[in-house]
Amino acid sequence: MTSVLAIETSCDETAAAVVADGRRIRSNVVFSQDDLHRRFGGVVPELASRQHLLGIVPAIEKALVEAGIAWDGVDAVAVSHGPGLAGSLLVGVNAAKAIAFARGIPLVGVNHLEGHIYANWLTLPAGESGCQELHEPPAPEFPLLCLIVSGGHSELVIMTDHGRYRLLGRTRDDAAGEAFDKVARILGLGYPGGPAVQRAAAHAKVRDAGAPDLQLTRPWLRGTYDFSFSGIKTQVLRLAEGGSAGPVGNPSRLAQVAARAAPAGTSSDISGLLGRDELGRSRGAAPAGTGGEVSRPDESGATGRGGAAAGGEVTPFVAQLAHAFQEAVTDVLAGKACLAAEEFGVRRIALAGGVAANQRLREKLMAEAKVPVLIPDVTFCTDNAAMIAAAGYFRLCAGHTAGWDLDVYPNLRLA
Amino acid sequence: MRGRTTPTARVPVRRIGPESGRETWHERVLAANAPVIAIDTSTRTGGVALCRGVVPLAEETWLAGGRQTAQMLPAIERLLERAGYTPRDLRLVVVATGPGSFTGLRVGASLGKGLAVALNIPLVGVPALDVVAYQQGAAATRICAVVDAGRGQLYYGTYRRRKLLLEQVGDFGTRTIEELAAELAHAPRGTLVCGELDGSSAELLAGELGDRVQMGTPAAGLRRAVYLAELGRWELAARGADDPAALQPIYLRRSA
Repeated sequence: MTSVLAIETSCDETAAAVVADGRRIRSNVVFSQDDLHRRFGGVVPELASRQHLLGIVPAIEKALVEAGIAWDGVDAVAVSHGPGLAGSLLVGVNAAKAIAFARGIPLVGVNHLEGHIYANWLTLPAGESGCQELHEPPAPEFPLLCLIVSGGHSELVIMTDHGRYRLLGRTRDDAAGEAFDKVARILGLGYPGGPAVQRAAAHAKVRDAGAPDLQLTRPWLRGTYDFSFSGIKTQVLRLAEGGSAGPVGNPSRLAQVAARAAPAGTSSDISGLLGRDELGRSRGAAPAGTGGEVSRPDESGATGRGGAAAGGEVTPFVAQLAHAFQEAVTDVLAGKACLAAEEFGVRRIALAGGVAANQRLREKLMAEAKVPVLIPDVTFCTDNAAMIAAAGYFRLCAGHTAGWDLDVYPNLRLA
Repeated sequence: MRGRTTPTARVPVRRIGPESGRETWHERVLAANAPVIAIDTSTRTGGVALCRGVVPLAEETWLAGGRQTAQMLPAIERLLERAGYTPRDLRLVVVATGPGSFTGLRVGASLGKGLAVALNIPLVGVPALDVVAYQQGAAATRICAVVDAGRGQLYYGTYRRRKLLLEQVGDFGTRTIEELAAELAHAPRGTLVCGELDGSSAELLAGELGDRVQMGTPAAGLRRAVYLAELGRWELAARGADDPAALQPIYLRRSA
């Protein structure tokens, strides 16, 4: 049995895990920084780096204790060394290097996106998964189509073997998760945006089944497997402001929806929120009073005022918008993944990344795909170190160990 | 900042060096020939040193720029190999805590934390400005130590010598070279200004202050990790090891 200790600090989760033979999770520790970044509506890199430096040792020690092993039981160290925030990555990479060097064991550098794919290899220990069987589910089969959707990435990749990737397409602007975060901010739903938008959208379906659907554009970018989500996001922004939805919108119909769905005062509340949002300013759709002032997301103020997250109540109009946005994004993601799966004759589709936690995306992929769809447990969709350990183990088996000069690569590509 | 305030002085005074504390449990545990590794990534200039007890064995100091993550550990490996040691022989890790480049400081701190927990040995953090002051030797009685803060600013600390003991007077601060010149106009005559000063900054200080201050040479101002290792041993004796989970750099901001 080979136990890999893995460290993941590419964005805002300080994580460490021990995984046996690339599949069996012995421990999985994730220290989330969500509370730290929530008031900024996004990850503040300097704060994230400082928190990683404070969290790294407790995370590693907890991972060893929970795995029930001492340092002698660690056979290799894997670390995600990109893509991600440089300042965050280097805390994990330097700690991992020092540990591997000190213990005289191999060091493996893992691409963070590769880690997300390998979440599909992980199995929960018997008992935790709810079943008592001791045999593992079969490993994913190649060729495998991977849809990696997270806060920083939206990529379609064909994996023909361990460590062999071919990039089919990627986002041209916002990543899917980023679009969820921005729309959540526009709608005052709080941070992180993925779960917040999903919750609000679920509200819409229950409450306003009779209301006409808001139809947002579906940016198919036909002829490519690339994605683009900033257009949908801008449509949500315009609708939220009470203006036209742009080329595909039907203003009179939308006005009806808004009038029916939104209680008096709602739209001005939303405008108030938008006044402090960098999206409106940078897209030239700034409400009066913001004066075209440009602010980086890091520095923008909190979304707190009034927002649905604070009150726990979502107005029907906001719920409709969240629902329409979620439907548009998941339609495109699932549709293009299924198209690629057919064109390339893959045997499985694997979903990976934080947005894989989205229920609608899961449902659509399962319904539309002609081959089995693999979806990691929700715990392993968001950033974690167990997935890095899994990827690291298979890299180790292939002999791809790193030297002591391993560096961080904020823009590391998978293929 | 940690530190001891003398009852009479209004400014905080922190003692550094051989008389900064009595021998403690930690010092006795750390055998006289225990191998010590010291890591300084406070600024673009980085350094590592290996000592056996108080005896320096090997040292590297170089302009690493932004390549510290890639270059530090290979340098440590070279030092150990030259001395015939393995990492498991190490008994103490000392890291420079700045002030300096936030990113650079986190490289050294992460390396130090990883070594300390994986080897189960003590970790001690020492301010980089202490190193600059400490390495100036017994002739300097009043010292203004500086390191580069980027964007035309300097981090500085002022020190005075009482026999072998060095005392930091006041807190670390951030100044432009002009602001530092204005401040040093009130400094005791003969104050030694040393550390990371470029040619034009040194000229400006010399021009403004004449012989009120002595200017250290660039070589004398180069932070040397062997001194960091020595200070680390004294700090371990004086106050014990740092908690590897809680250790963090001195995050001193540049002024706007």
